[in-house]
Amino acid sequence: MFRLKGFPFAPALLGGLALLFPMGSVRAEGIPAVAAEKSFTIEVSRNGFTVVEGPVHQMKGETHLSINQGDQVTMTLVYADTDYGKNNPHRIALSKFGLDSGLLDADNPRRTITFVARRDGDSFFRCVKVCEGHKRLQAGKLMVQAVAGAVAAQPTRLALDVPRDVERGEPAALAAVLTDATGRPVQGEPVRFLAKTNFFLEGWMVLGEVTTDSSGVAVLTFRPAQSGDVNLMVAFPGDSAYRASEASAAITEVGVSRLYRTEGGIQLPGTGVQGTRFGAAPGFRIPPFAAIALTFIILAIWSTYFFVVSQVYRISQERE
Amino acid sequence: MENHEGISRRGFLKALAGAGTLLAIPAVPGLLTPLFRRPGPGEAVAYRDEAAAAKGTAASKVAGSKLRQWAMVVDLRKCDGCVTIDEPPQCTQGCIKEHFVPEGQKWVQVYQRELAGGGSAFMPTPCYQCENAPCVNVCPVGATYHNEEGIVLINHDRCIGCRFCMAACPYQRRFFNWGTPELPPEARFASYSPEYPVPARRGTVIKCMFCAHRAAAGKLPACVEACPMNALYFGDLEEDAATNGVEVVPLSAFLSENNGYRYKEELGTRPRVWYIPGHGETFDRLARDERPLGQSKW
Amino acid sequence: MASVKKLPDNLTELEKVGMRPLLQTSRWFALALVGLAGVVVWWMYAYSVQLRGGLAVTGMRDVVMWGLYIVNFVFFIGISHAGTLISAILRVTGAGWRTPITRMAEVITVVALMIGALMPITDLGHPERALNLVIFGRYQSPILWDFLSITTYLTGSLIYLYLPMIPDMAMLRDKLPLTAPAWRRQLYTMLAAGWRGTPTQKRRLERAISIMAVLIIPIAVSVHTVVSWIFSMTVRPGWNSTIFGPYFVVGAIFSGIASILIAMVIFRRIYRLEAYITKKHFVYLGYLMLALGVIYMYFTAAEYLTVAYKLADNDRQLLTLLFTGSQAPWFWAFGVGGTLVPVLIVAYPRTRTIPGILVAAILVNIGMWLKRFVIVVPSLQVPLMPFDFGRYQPTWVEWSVTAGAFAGFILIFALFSKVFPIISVWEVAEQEEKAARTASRLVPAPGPAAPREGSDV
Repeated sequence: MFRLKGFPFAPALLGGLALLFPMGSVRAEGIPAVAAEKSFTIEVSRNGFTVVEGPVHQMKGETHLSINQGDQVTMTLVYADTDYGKNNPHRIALSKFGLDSGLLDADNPRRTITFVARRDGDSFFRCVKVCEGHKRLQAGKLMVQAVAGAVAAQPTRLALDVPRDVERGEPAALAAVLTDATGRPVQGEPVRFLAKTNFFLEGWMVLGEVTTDSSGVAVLTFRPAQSGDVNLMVAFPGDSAYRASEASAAITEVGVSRLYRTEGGIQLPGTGVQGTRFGAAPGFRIPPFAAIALTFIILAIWSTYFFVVSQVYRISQERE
Repeated sequence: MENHEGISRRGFLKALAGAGTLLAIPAVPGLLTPLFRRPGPGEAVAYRDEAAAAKGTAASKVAGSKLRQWAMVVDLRKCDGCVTIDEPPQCTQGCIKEHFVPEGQKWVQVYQRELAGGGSAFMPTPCYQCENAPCVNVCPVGATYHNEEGIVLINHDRCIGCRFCMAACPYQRRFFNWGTPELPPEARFASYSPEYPVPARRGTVIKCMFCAHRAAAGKLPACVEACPMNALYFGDLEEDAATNGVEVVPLSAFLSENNGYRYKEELGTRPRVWYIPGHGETFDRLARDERPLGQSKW
Repeated sequence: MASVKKLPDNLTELEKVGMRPLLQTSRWFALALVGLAGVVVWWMYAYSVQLRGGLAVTGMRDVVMWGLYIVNFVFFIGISHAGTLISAILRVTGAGWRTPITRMAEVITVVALMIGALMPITDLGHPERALNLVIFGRYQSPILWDFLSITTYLTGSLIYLYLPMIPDMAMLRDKLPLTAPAWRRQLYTMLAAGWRGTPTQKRRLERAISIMAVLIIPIAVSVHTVVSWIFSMTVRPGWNSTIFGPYFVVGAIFSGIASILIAMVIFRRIYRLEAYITKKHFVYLGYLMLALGVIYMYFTAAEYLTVAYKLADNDRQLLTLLFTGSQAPWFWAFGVGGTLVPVLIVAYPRTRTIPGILVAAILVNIGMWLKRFVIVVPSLQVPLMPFDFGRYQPTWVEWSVTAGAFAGFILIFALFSKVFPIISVWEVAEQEEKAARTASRLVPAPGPAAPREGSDV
């Protein structure tokens, strides 16, 4: 199902990310998984997370929750800074799943996050609000064990929205929207932007990778530097929860101005010193006024020589 | 595993046989293979002005009067100095072979640099083709100059051999033919041009010229082709793209994302060669690896 | 006695002193000339070896790519400041005691410039393309600045040497004994340019000399400034310095005065000029050398302290090389032996004698040559890339060219003194008259001892 061979996927920009996506792995499809329900109750205080209910794997000040892919998770967060004396609000986020507890404080002492762990791998839950004990609240880890066939990967749809005409070298926003089969936005997934290139090699150049936001939108700012039409593509590599998808579009570059320029020298007002241009003799240029002054000085010296020698001539020409 | 032109087969086999730690070598290019193909002759480098090409001139003006602005990126994460394949630096060897480089000169030289906590990193150094080039500034006769594509070339018919450019170069990237260079006979048949200064001439300064003759023919520089680790990228600042012969990357984003830097940037010479910091870790070379660089052969 | 010619009787003592070396040459002097000519021939041979084998026969290589030739170039351009600058400054400031030494100083300038200008050409990989400097010259290059200022300076110095010689040429034309060879008479007649000493001619000559004296000073300053800029327009450690211009100018005048002092001692001895070049001249010039030595020490301290205080990495390598490393003997020989000791010798009254000043002057010249060496070579040895220090060991070719350059310098100087009077006869006479008028008494006109015929050694 997720055989990536032939899929335009080049770990050019972030080579390390390649390790995150197990490429070429084949998963069985269609075996219905038994989804378990997992509930956790976690006390959140300035001293860190304390799991009061549910399977826990606590180590060296870090709180690790271990579940299986496909589990229905209910995470109840309890405000436990009641003895602190003053309000110490927290906000716990599970960024990989795009989830957020909302404000957790004396007024809202209980928050519940419910989700299906569709995607395997490790992720973090942590306080995203600066609070007392903030550092200790950075140590929550959610580990989702992959379970073959636990989740039926959903098909996805990718749309690419690009401006039609782009001034060469001017930034253009490329927007990709990733939605699932039902049209709901898919959040927190990496989308890769590629451009067709013919630079010594013909193929697709990875422009960058952007994670979709809560609306499923990933935006990449691109400064087209090729000329003519540029074929663009966005690709979602897919994972155990979502199937891969891609979309393409083309933009037309207008304007033939030279893009790459370099500045040289110091711009002295009124001296005509210009930026360096590449040509027969770039680099340090004697500004025209200096060249004129220099020429004048040299001419003056040599004319004086001439005058002095002419005195000698007149000495020799003198008659009594 | 396909055989790429840019990868020495012998180097590959040695690497594979050498250690399981080098699994990444076949893996990385293998992944990239499906993305790119080499253009056939004629369809190379799309920016070439079709009209100019038809006239048979070497000018590589782009359509719409845009020019290439050549640059290079050296990904030091991938540069292991060729010690893990037990060879002399292959970029230097490729350069020597391409230009019949006189003995003793290394136009592309690999230096070994000390790292902060001990150990070393390798640093291949072509001519940096500085935009504010000290050598070009000081040349009294205009023998060394920038061509329109930003490459610093030397006109050996004009060079008087004063070596002021060598004194001015803060990177020691220039060489002088002190005596008559000993060249293989085939070098004698090359037709000289500043873009391809072969055969080398006595009493003149010579250096790397980014393989200007190859770029004009739509080929990557010899060192880029020769690097078995694909650590060298040849790029165009105008098109904002660079390639190591296996993949194409957006040049500016590649530099930003990977902390690209230029050597002795504070000098203001504005080199056209960038480095991505590293010490060959992509191929599992440890910083404290003590294997020395191989001896270059001429 | 090589040749004894009777000097005409209608000459003043001064004119005899001026004319005698032209007509009488001792055997030792002739032998010395032959020896010098031999060294010059050896220089030609060494250079022919270099022309055949290329610069590979030198000790220069890709890292240390400049060597003795550039050292000699800077040294000779330096001592060229002897002259014109000193004689011009003293003339402009109206120092009357200058008259017996100005000619010598001016000759040093011209000869040193000619020899010095040969050095970079010797250093070229393609000397036959030297004309490219004219055809393709770029104003942006310090070498072209050098080319322009040195040619301007050489031309100016030649004019400035020639102008005060005109009345002396006329004297020789008129008073040369009939036994003198015809070519001399023709030469002097031509160079005398119809001088008869009329008031108009005097006025014209005086004006021409005054103009040149003023003009030559800024030109001389510019020459050594742009020579230093060859180095300081680069980013190398030790060269990348803002004070190099004035530093080099001061060093040039310093070594230039030392060169005049040496020449004064030699010519005073062999041409019996004791009556005209007196201890006063040595002491005055010694004071000038002392002052410039102190200024030079000040510049040296300013140069190295500002670098050593900050100690950038490459500067640290350079200073280690200079202070304690392989170049330390030369550096300290310059610093102590070439500036401090000579300054002390001149400062201390008991050593402020003519022999003492001569020793000081020789030390200064050796020290300044070494200084140019430790400016040029160690800066190039410093590794700009991660590698070891560069090496430089001059070969016999370079030493031969160096020896030949010095021999050629002395040879041309000696030959000049055999063709033209080495002291400015008319100016000295004028000065004596003036002194006689103002003091209403006669300054000792003839030498202390009656000149012995035919002995100039």
